[in-house]
Amino acid sequence: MKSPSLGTLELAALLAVARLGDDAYGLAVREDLAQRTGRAHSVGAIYTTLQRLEDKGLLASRASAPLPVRGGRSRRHFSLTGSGARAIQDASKAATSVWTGFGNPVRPEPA
Amino acid sequence: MAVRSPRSAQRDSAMRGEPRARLLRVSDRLLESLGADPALVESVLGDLAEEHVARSARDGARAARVWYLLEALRSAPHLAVSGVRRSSIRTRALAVAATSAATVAAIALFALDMRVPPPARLVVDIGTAGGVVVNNTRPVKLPLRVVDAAGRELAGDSVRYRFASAAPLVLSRRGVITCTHRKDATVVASLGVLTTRFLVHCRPVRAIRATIWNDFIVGTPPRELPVDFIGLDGRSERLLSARVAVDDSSVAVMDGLRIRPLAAGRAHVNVRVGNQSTSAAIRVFAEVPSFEGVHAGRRLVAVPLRLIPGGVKRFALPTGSLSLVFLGQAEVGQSDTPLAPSMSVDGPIMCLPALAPRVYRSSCLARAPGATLTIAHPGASVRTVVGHVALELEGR
Repeated sequence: MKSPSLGTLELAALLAVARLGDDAYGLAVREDLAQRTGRAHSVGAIYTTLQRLEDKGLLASRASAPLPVRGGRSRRHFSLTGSGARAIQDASKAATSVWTGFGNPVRPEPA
Repeated sequence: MAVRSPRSAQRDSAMRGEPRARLLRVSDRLLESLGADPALVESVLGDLAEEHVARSARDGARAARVWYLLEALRSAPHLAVSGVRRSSIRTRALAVAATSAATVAAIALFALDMRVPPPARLVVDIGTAGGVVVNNTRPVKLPLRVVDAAGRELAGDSVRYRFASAAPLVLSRRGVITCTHRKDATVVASLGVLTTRFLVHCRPVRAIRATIWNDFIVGTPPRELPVDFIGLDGRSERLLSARVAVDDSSVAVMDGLRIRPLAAGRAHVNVRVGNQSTSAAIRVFAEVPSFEGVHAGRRLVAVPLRLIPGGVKRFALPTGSLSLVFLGQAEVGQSDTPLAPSMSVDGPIMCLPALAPRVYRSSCLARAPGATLTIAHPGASVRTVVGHVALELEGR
């Protein structure tokens, strides 16, 4: 079965969840992406992306016990589903395929 | 169309006791009103609250609040779009209207919060010394804060400083002091009608001298780090504003300027005073009944020792590269200086420096099994030798 198509942020978030394992919740995913891409996505953007990935069946989520540091709210921990793992593999293959034959980045000739 | 989670009432009562700004609660309500999945909104608000706590501790309450409001504002369109996707056409129209209103309201709230309130107080953090202690030998800005009536920190660029009376020190109008020598002086700081006076203790430190090796036994009482702070006049300085930290808190922690050993291991104590800093190594040994069974997984061990006059003890040593040291302990009722034993080694072992009277620390190489350490009462005293023989198995 073909994996659903993924946007850049969706793929990055999916990979972050895979990397973070049990620690994958919004704030951790946001920090991971900020460190790797240098771009600070808003909390809302991260969660709507994670929710979209859950709606596509690529992620599953569970709520932790309420935490005082979160004003009595739970953390929503995300984990990769089988489809999510397949989607990562497919994305990796697709990326490898499109980059095949392309060596070092083209550098402009000095003026 | 406000969507409220079932836990909202419970959470609100929990939040009431926290010093969170009203603005933040209003921004929470705005995000909740955007029609997104309540679970999604809960997660977003939870993350905002969690990072707000971290940023308050790190950057101060005002910076954290500004971050919170900006982040809520950035998140609003995403939640609104999510809400619109979930709803009917009529609801979508309402959501668009609500989003527009929420965005305008959030911007207004943000602008409101950005207004600079008038300064209310000049605050100087005075420690136990009853004044500001300056250990820096270089020019340094006096630590004065300007706050408004609500305790929020404001820019302090317009504060002007002067000495209350002539002082042989250098102080700029903007509060940069240069401590060229040991002196106390009263400084007057003013901003408009606000004025405060505080004492400055100039105690410039030009060097820190620390013992390179500091050995401890797990479970023994905290001991002061032997550090000497040398002033510009060459005298030892006691009035300090120092920062001392252990780089591995699983091995030892600081208790003021004293070190509390926790577990066997090596660590460094970093000491910073003014513009001087140094680092001292510490070793913490675990107490064991003998050196038998010492292995690479348990490298730092110490055997308790108590020798009456004429007493001798022998210890079998493990093979390998070893560091041996006697850690004396003054016996209750005796003088503060512990009595040291006489130490020697036998068998296939070589030590540098060679163990001899008054040599209590040595690095040894036990080439094969059969090496022994002999510790004897020095004989010249009727006092008891009390302490530990500590061994660190190096390398391997």
